[in-house]
Amino acid sequence: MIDIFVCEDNAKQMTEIVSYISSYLLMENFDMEIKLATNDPQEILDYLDKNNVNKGLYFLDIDLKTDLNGIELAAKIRQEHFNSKIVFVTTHSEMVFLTFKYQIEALDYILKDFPNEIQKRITAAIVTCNRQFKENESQSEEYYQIKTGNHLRLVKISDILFFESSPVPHKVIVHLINGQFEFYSTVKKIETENKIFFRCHKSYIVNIDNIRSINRHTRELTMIDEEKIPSSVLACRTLVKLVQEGISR
Amino acid sequence: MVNVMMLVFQELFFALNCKIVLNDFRIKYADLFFVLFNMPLAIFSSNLNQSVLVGTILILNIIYLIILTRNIKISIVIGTMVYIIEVITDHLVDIINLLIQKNLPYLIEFIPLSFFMTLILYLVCRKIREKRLNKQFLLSKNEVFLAAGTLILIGGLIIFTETMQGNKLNNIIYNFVILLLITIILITIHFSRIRELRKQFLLTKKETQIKNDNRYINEMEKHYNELRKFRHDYQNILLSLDEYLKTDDISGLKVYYSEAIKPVSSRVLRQKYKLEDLSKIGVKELKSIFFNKLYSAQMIGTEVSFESKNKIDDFCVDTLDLVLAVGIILDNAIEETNGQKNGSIQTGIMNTALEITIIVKNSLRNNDISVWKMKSAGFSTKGANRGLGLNNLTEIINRNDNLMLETMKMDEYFLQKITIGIGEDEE
Repeated sequence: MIDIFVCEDNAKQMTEIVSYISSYLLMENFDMEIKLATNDPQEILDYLDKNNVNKGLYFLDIDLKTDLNGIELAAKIRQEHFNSKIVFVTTHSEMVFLTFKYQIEALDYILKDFPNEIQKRITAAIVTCNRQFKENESQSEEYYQIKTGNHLRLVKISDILFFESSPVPHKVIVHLINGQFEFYSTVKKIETENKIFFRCHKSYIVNIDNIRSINRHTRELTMIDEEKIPSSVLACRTLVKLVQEGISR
Repeated sequence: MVNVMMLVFQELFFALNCKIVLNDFRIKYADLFFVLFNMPLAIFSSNLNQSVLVGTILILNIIYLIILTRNIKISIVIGTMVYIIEVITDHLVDIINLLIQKNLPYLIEFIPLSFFMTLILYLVCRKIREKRLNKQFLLSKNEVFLAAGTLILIGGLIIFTETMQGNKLNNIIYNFVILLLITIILITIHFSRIRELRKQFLLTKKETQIKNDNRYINEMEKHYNELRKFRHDYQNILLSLDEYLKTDDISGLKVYYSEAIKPVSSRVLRQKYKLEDLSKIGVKELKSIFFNKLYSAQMIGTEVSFESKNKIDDFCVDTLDLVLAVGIILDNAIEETNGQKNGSIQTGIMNTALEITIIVKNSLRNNDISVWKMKSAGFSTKGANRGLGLNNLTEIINRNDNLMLETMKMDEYFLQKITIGIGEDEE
């Protein structure tokens, strides 16, 4: 069951949104239900406190005429319910595209400035939300969790090439296939977190699956994106063994 | 024998003082030259006429300095400085000796006095270095001429008044006073020039700041005028609506809505001022760099935007470093988007209780270059000497504990994110 919430301070727009949602839910037989439609963001937070919401879809206005705006509300919802799907319903002048996308990781945003499109966008959001929850349940892809600030970040393990300790203590740089970023952790800690991570050097941890080749003379590992990282003598020997076992297996 | 020892020590102190002024104590080939040529030649010429000796040593020492620094100007100035110090020391020793009327060995007084002078020189040099003067502040053409002139003057003065007439107390005192005066005059000139230059530097900095601010103000005024126009339209619309409602002319209202109101609202939408959120940055330098870079990108046809939901006054990090980092990121974005057909740069700042995030996202031309290649020193698609930016950026990030950098390359865009930790370390 996916619970749907609406928070919108304009009564007329709220009834409109609710009617779009319920009529679509009537038409399609999704396992969804509108739990709460309100103009007070606090009410949603209270509801989440008292009830067990496993999967949620939220339609939020940005300017709520209270001390809590839609973005802050979304951030609060996310803190406790990481997998929540959030859709912003807003006007163009309130648009903060990067914030939606990178701070809240919103599912979508719907512009009120185009009234004819609202219904279409709402149904589209419901369909996407439904599909994403289903995919999450069935997929076997393994993720690595990285906490940055108050943000939990999921990275596909197959995307991780290696970790490198930064010259700054307690900072680690993770190298992905399509980029790199820093976070607070230590090489020592990461080493123990997944058996596919191998400490090949004092300050490097490599994802064994993403090594292209090992040069035993120069003791360099070449990753699948051709970046080279150093390896210690002992680690190099163990790695060759590990990889060979992996192949024979 | 005493003469030779005296020369050796004078030469040694000369070399030591030069090294202090240059702040480079490593042994170099020039020092070998100094030991092999300067010392023996000086000792050899000590048997000759004293006038010849003074001249030879001077020229040899300047040659040593030129080999050491590979710069004639600097050599002349430093040579003069150190030479004046030595001559002053030498004269002081003579004066003391002649005044107390006891013939103490020259070296007993010369060595401690020289050490004292060297120490003063060292302290002064360190003090000047702490002020981190720009290299260009240090020497001007006039100063080099002045130094060369002084050198010749002093050389001549000593040769004609002292060595040719025997070392008389009167002459030595006169020369000492003259030397002191010259030194004081030169130092005064030098420092007043530096002060002047610094004032000028600040002035030009302020001028550019004012110019940038003016540009910002102009943009604001333009925006404000648009707003006024809209308010005017809005009032008219309200009046007309009022009229239609009073007369119950619903069909007329419908026509009016679709013909008059809709176009206005879509115009307002289109004209949303893309940089108005810049007013939410509370740090002037940061606001300035965002505005100027984005404005210049806009001028060459790149679509730009800046967004920030909350007003942020404190970025909890060294402002200069942050501005440098943001500048590098924006420069890269501008360089990449310049020349793209529908290039765009989206920027934004967002904050939570624990961190502030600065995001710059720009559209990307198709290429297969991976992020690590872009980040290595000197890499650039534009040829040599262009790609130091990302490497410098890493350096800036690493010297600030609470800064974190993210670089991602997606299919159609490039994303750079600086995260500033502001809360307690969450461990």
